[in-house]
Amino acid sequence: MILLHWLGRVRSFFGTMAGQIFLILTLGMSVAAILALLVAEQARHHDFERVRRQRVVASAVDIAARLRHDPAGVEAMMAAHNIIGAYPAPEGVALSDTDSDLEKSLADRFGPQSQPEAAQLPVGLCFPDHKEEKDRAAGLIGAPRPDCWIVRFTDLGGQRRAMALTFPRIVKPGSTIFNPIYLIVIIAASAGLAILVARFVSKPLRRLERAAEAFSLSLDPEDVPEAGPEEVRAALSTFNLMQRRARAGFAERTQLLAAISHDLQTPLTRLRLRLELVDNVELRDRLLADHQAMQTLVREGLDLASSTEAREEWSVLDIDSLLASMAEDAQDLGQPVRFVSGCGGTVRVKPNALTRCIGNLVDNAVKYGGCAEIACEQVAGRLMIHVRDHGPGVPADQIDQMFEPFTRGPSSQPGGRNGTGIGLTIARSLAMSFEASVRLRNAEEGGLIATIEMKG
Amino acid sequence: MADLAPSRSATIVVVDDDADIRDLIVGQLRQENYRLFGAANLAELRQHLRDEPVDLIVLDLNLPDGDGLSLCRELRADGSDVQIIMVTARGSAIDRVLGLELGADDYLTKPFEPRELLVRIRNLLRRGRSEPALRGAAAMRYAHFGPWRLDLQQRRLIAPDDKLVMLSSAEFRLLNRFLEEPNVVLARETLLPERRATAAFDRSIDLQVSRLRQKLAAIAGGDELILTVRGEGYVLASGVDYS
Repeated sequence: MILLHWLGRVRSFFGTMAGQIFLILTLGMSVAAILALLVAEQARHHDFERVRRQRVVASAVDIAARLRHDPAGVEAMMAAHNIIGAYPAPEGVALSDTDSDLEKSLADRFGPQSQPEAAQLPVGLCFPDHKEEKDRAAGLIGAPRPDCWIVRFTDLGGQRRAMALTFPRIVKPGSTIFNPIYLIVIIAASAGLAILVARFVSKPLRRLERAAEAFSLSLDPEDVPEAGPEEVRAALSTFNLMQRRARAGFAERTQLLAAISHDLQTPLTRLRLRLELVDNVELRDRLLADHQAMQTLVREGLDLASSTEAREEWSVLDIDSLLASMAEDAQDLGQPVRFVSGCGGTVRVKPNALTRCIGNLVDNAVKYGGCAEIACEQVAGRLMIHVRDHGPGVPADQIDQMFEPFTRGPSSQPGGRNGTGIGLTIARSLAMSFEASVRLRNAEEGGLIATIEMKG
Repeated sequence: MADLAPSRSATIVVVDDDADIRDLIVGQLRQENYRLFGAANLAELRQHLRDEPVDLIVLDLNLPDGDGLSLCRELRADGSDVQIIMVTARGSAIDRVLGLELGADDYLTKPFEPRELLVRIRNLLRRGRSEPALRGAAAMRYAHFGPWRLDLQQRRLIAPDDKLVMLSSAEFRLLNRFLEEPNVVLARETLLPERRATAAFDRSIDLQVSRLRQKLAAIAGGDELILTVRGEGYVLASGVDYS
């Protein structure tokens, strides 16, 4: 279980941009570092070989110079093994695996006519007749045996020379790349840098995300501070512009609605006063009903318009006292509203907006569901106020539409259809003014649950 | 005002810049045997006020030469005690609270029921000038008692740490009743007069008092504010200051 849990967390981490940048940078930088080390290793190998050849060339040049001065003497000394590191070449050895780099260096030193041949031979082939030396040197068995090179060239006198040159073996140090400590250091350094870069890159995105979230919750969010690298500043500034335009468009719509609703009140007042002059009672009652309907529309239009004006001050409020007193007030008016369970908490809201928001949900519950049960719940830093009815609910595919203005419950439902259908729109708009959200869902045992959710 | 005898028919000025509305209101009120005048703006209204004693003004708030609110404040500042009913369209910048605070006696939103206007006019004229103290109290925003403040306009309790505790309408009325007569024992029957309390309502009064007590006891020092006086009723054991 724990393993699965961790696997899930790792997968979700690599699903994020930070995770992917981290992965790419860590792998990429590790591979690059290892490749660079391999190249360095190769260069080192080449240097090592060059140094070895330089020794051979220097030695061959030295012997050649001595031979030029005193050919017989030097040959005798070589034959008698009196020169350390230079001996006569063994007879009848074919140089099959010649070292072309070495031959080229020799040709540079002796001139092109020298036609040098050179090859490294196993020591045993260099000194086929010196087995006894090995036997004598019992104490040295296992000691590193010298490297042996056979060099042949034609000297300036036209004489073909052949010699065996020996050097103490230099042990080439082993490769360090695949030492686990090196690998760990490389990968750790890459990962460290990758984390830094990933955080650096994802930080402005997170800020933008938070700003977008704030915008989705509130109608009057703050501008995001435009700071950071140029691209980030440009994105944030565009976001702020969009936010301002959306707000301006919304404000314009609201003002229009408010202006129309407000101006309708004067003709409606006249109409109402004139209706008193109508003598035909039946006609008058019908006209009064029409007038009432128009007036309701105007009132709700104004409510909707004013709900988006979040001018109210924030206050800390005892939530249970609000819910209990609302239920009590509704009961006094004879409505079937109950306060079922409280949560004993306080919450920071705009009190009048919250009151009207709950009021709208309760009115809806009573109107379409026949009753309302108010409950409060506190879960993981969130506070939820549920308003539940026991009516027929709303088909699942129509729940989202319910928040659109002038949408009413399905017409197949029993019960009055006398609302204007903007109660929920107003409720949601009010909730946004104190950074809360309103959701609807059908209860499993029937009925609709409207939930206001906010920080708390 | 000694000259406000019931025998004399009251003088009412209807102020509205919409001629139709003004005439219609005047027409409706004429059936009631009042002396009626119309005024289209503040200048005309002031003229009427200078010419003769006016008992009541039906005042629209948005007028071409100024707003009714400032006139209202002006009249009160001059010591005038003419009754004022404010009439305004919903959604105007002013709200009921502000209107009443500035000295209006009542408040109606357009469009209103003509009968509603008539009822309110009658009530105000009958009440007369007998309750200036009440109007003074209405202009006060907070009542302080014990550790609590009661916001008289928004109808909510405020704890010393500014936390709000909401009251139902019944609780507010009840608390308001206690605040009107602090340190006086109030019988159950007098606590909820609008319900014409009978023995049957006693339970409900007890219940409401206990709920109110519960809310008041939510903070330190709030638990002994409303005391039971056995066989007599309840008493608010605290002084009350207004601000």
